[in-house]
Amino acid sequence: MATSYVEYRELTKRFGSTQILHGINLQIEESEFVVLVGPSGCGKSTLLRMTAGLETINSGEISIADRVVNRVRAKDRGIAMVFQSYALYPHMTVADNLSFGLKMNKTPLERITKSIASAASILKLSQLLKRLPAQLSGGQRQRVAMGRALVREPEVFLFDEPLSNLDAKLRVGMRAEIKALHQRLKTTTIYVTHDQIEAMTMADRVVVMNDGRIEQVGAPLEIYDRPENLFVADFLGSPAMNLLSGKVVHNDGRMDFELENGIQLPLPDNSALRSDQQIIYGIRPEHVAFTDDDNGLPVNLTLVEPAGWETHLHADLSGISLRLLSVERVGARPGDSARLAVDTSKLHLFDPTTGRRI
Amino acid sequence: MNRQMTRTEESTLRPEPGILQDWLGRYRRFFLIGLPLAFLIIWTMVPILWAFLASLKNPLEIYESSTFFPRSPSLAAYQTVLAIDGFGKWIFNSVLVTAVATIVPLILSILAAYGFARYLFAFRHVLLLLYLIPRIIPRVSLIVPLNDLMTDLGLINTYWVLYLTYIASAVPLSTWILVGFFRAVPREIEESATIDGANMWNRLRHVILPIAWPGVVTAAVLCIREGWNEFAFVLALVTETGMRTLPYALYMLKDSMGVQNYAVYNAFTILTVLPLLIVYLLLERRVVESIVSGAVK
Amino acid sequence: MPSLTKTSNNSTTARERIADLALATVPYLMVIPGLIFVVGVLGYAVFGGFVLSVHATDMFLNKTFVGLQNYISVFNDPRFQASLLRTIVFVVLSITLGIVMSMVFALTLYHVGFARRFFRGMSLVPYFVSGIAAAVMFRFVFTTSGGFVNYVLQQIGLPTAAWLGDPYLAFMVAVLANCWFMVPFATLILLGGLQTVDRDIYDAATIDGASGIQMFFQITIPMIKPMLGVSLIWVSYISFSTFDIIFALTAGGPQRATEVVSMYMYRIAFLQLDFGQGAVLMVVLLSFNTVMSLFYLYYFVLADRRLEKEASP
Repeated sequence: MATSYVEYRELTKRFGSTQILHGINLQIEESEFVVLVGPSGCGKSTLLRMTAGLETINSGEISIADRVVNRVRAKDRGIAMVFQSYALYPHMTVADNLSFGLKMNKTPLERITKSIASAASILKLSQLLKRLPAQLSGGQRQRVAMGRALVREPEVFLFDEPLSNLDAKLRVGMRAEIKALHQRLKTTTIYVTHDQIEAMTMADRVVVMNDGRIEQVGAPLEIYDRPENLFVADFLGSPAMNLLSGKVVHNDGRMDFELENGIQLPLPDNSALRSDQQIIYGIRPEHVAFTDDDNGLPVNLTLVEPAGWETHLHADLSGISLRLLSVERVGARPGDSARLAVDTSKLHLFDPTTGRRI
Repeated sequence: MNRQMTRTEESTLRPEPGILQDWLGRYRRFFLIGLPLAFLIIWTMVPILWAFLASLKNPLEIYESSTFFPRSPSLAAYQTVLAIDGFGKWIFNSVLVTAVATIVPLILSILAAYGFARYLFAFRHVLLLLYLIPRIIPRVSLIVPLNDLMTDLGLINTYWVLYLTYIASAVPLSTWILVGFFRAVPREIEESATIDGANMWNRLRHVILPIAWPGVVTAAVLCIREGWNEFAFVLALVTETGMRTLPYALYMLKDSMGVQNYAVYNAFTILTVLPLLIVYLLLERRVVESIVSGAVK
Repeated sequence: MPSLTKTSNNSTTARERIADLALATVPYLMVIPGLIFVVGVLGYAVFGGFVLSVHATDMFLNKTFVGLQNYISVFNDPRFQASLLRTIVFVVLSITLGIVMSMVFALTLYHVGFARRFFRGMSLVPYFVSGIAAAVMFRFVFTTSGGFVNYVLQQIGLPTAAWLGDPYLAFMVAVLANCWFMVPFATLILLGGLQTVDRDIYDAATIDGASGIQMFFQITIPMIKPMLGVSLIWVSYISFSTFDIIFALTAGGPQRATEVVSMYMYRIAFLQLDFGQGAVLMVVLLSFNTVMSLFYLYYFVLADRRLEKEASP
């Protein structure tokens, strides 16, 4: 068997008549940081909870460290989990929260004391050990939740949207802290989020899920640069990729892409394309730029959203809406007309019937 | 800002509010809150206070009805009550029956409420309904068949008859209260405990019960109240003097004492009410909060 | 689906199946013990009551089946008809007075600006006084000589009355004592309702130009409808099955003026020792109460979803 550490084989899950997971297959390497990302209801949390032993398995197998754990109880799976709501025990002090699991497993007292001290120092909780969760800030609670996972010295860390209850600024800070912790401990980690920024910034590998299926697995930039299907193309990236429907046309031996409104956009040479073939033409907003060339696409700007270090623009191309991203300051105002150029080397083409990349 | 929005209000605004309006403001508040509050206090406290004051008066003074406060307060009536043959036994009966009718239902309903709050199992709605229906059955209506049943079982005039009926009527109430409190404990906290290696008993003991403690206290106080104050069952199922609980003994006092013993009568009343009121006042905050929050229905 | 060459991972061993079965019985083991008491005592009593109601009993509690004879006798008894009518009047008066008082007290406790906790705690005290003790206390508040009410009337120079000797006045005193006992709980339920109403709504209504009274009837009442329903159930339940208070306050007198159905039932069963007819009255009390509760539940508390299927995870 491969050196995979956590492995899912044909895993399925139903709630009543609703199929939540349709045969998940995935191998996670030792000390890898894998992020499961997808819209809500895609089954990513269920997959995590099944890994933790909080949900039963309808069919298929989960193995952790080469041991099938389908029937192993949660506490014996060698996992630790950080919940979205932190799930701290509200009636226990920080120290008691950290030690509860060790006490339940009848760990000798001196070992408990040592583990707590080391977890507390790693997470900067040493001053807070006597406090109750209600007396802590959101970030501190988050740290306690992580500390509770840490003292279990698990083989696998499971995170279920751990940052979504924090405000934007703290979230960025904690993101870095979790990543740093992983680099230090090298514990295999499975991290669930719906936030693509978290997925991109933290993961060694990203698993994009949708509707109970895995859409694509790969390194963050690999997925971003080469989405395998329409769902991934649309899901990753903010503002989202422009996805335009139309067909391939031949012009003087050259191929072009014709939109439904008759406007043509350039296509790179691609032997896989036939004339009149219906395709989806995908271009990320940052790959559409203003141009002085009179042959550029004529558009009217409809919306200009300055976001500080970048500017989001919406443009109207004879009835078809395009999104643009500019990292330079844009002096343009809504209503202005402009000409745009598309970077044809950065195109993503998809088959509209299968949704797959061409 | 708001004033500009409604023109009518602007026109009724007087240039000078003046002292008169200040007075009206206070006057209004006094009428709308002060008077009802005074009425609430008088309404709530007078029956208890009057009984207490009467218990300190001498019997003739009560009968003359000429004083509010006792002329020469005396605890003689309480001494008389304590000296009543059987009073100790009645207190013992009340305490014993109440204790059993609190502890047993609490244990049963903690288990049941946990089952209902946390497990998805077949027929759980039917079973929950069976727990709840008794709450709309007037207890007094059951005294006829219960007397019949308990006579057949030969349990009349035993503690068992009181244990059984009190436990049965306390379980639905406390289960209902606890189901609400247990459900309010976030599931994730329990899952976290599961991962931490706590089994069901440990989760219940170390996680659920401490977090839902206000609910347990409320359920306990209400069980104590039921047991301590219950009258219809003890009236119907107990006939021996030595088996009476305090409410029954208080009721029977009317027959055994003459009119002139009003002070004693009142002292007896105060003594039966006082222990439960002390329990309530000690745990008042939890109970009131639970009722106000809608957890007790 | 897993390929056939792999060892199929979905088949469970016998041992695992037994473990699963044991796990599945856990919730039943938790729920059943309490149910044994509830169904065994209360359920059996209700069942036994229905059985008893179609039997005649003699002094030794020997039973003979008589069909609906007991029902016919009870329903034809003018004394029963009078007690039923009296009960309905008692219930209507108690509900009206009780709910108005609860609402006034709840609003007062909601608005009071100081010692809130004290007043709230104090307002619930009568709930913890036993029905018998409450009745005894009310006897002494309303007794002709030595009663608080007559003392006050005398002090301010008004004529005194024989409150418990006069049929109409005694009935009113019984209603008051009943209210004293049941209002506190209803008050706190309503107070809870008032506290759930978002204060922003009142601000918005003020801006819309609503007066205090308009706000009460058009915002407060509709928004606390479920709690109003709960307190109505409570107040009706207590009033309809009232027993202790009347038993010790007036014992049904004077001149049967306060003989409500529960008193009549006690008299028939325990003084006339006709258990069959007594059981008929149990059926009457039970049916009235059930119909009333279902009515309120239907109209007021449908918003409370605790009984309904919770959303599965």
